[in-house]
Amino acid sequence: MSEPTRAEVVAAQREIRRDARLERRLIPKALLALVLVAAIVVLRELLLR
Amino acid sequence: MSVEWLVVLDNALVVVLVAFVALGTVPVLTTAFQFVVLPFHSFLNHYKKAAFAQPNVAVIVPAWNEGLVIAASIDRLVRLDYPQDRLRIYVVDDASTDDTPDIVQAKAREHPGQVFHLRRDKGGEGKAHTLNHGISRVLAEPWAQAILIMDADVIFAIDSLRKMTRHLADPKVGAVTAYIAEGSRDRNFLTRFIGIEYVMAQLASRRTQNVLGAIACLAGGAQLHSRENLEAIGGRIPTGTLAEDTMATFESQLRGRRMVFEPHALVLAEEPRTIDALWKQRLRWARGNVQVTRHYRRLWFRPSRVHRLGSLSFGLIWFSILLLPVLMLLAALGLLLLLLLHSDLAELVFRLMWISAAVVFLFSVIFAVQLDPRTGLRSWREAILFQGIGSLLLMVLAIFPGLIEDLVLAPLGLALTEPGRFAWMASMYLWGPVAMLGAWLARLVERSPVGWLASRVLLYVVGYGSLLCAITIDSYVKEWRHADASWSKTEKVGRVLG
Repeated sequence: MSEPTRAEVVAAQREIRRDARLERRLIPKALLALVLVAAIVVLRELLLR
Repeated sequence: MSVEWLVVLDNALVVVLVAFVALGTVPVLTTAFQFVVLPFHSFLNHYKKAAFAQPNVAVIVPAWNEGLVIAASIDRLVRLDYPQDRLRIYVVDDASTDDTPDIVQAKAREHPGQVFHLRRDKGGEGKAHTLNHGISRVLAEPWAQAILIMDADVIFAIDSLRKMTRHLADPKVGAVTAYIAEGSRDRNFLTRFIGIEYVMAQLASRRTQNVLGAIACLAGGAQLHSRENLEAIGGRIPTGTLAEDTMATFESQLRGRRMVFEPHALVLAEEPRTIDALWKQRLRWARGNVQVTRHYRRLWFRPSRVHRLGSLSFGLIWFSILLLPVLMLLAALGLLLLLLLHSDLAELVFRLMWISAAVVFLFSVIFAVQLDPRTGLRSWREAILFQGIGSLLLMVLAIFPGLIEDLVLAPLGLALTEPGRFAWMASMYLWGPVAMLGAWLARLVERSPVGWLASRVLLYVVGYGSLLCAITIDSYVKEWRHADASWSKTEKVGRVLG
């Protein structure tokens, strides 16, 4: 049975950190969606005036 | 009866009818809740406890007449970025009558000691029975430390298994599932709708479920169990319902084990290309969900220290999907009766309902397409039209009241008469049930000479969501009538991108 090398373990940890970092992008993505919805709401108010 | 009593009766009726409409808004609010919780996955995820882990993995592939796809699936599995001496593939041939046995035996000769052909002489009992045949063989030997259950047609991304096993480093984790994406080479309008649905239901909803600590279902095409977890649930996949994957997910969580959805582990699957095939597949899923709901009837909305399946949030998510068509029908009935009693109030309630639906729809779609930009770009039309042209129109009319009168009728010198206005309002209020009927009709006309066009136009008008609701209603009826629940396989012909 193959034993993991130190390099493999380090690479795996790096990959976990990278994916965890990618998850942090959920917040800006949510904010972008919120801003676009808010823009549409503002546009609606302007059009209904 | 005195006038006072009539007023009291009228008020009580109005309260009940408004409550009907409010109930119809619960799924919208639940969706909003899920998308509000979703960003919390930025820091409330399992990556802190994930670590390098490469257990011995036994892959169990149930196969019945999978001659067109099984070779590619095995080839991809043996090419996975995972130590090959820690990976064994057990193809459970469910008494196939095509060339599946020959192909698998050839692969077993090509990869001795890694690919195994297990033959069931009596097949057709369903996926869970087929899986259990393989699981019992795997668990009889001490080699396997984890068991990956998959479908014969799915294609794992090269790094997907590695990304799943790292969560098993945490002994509290019982199983891990991946992101199943629609991966056909030649997509059509329906597979593009499914692609968007999977982004919403997996990349969005399952991340939320990770945060809430309760997973509704480990995808049947990619569920990695620790050996301990599988043994804890009896060493077999429950066979009592049509939703064997959901049952296994629930049983695991009831024993206190955590389930993890890994959004960065990608698995491509071939999905139905016709409404009829999709209907049959989803009817099986929907009936399975009805059966699961009944089976775990003492679990719902009863919080436990062991698991989160009984939490209020999970119950709301579960029942919002299961009861969506009923709630839509209730809302339509409430609006229609309010129109008869107090048309002004009906209009106000209708507008509130559809404005909230519009805001949540916009937010969720804009958010969701960013979660998988490739699918978002490929299926932007289906993302916009997910709820259908009809629903989009209702959202616009709720946001801009009087639009039809001002922009369409007034320039033509026309105006709505009282009966015309009543009919127009009633048709808008009844859109939900009408759209479900339209989805049913789309399936019906699909096989006609112009079906390919008519069914497509109908589906874009009524929306993919209405199709799923219509299938859910069919599942209620089939369950109520105890209709034949024999397992019917979705035909796969190897369209997934390799």
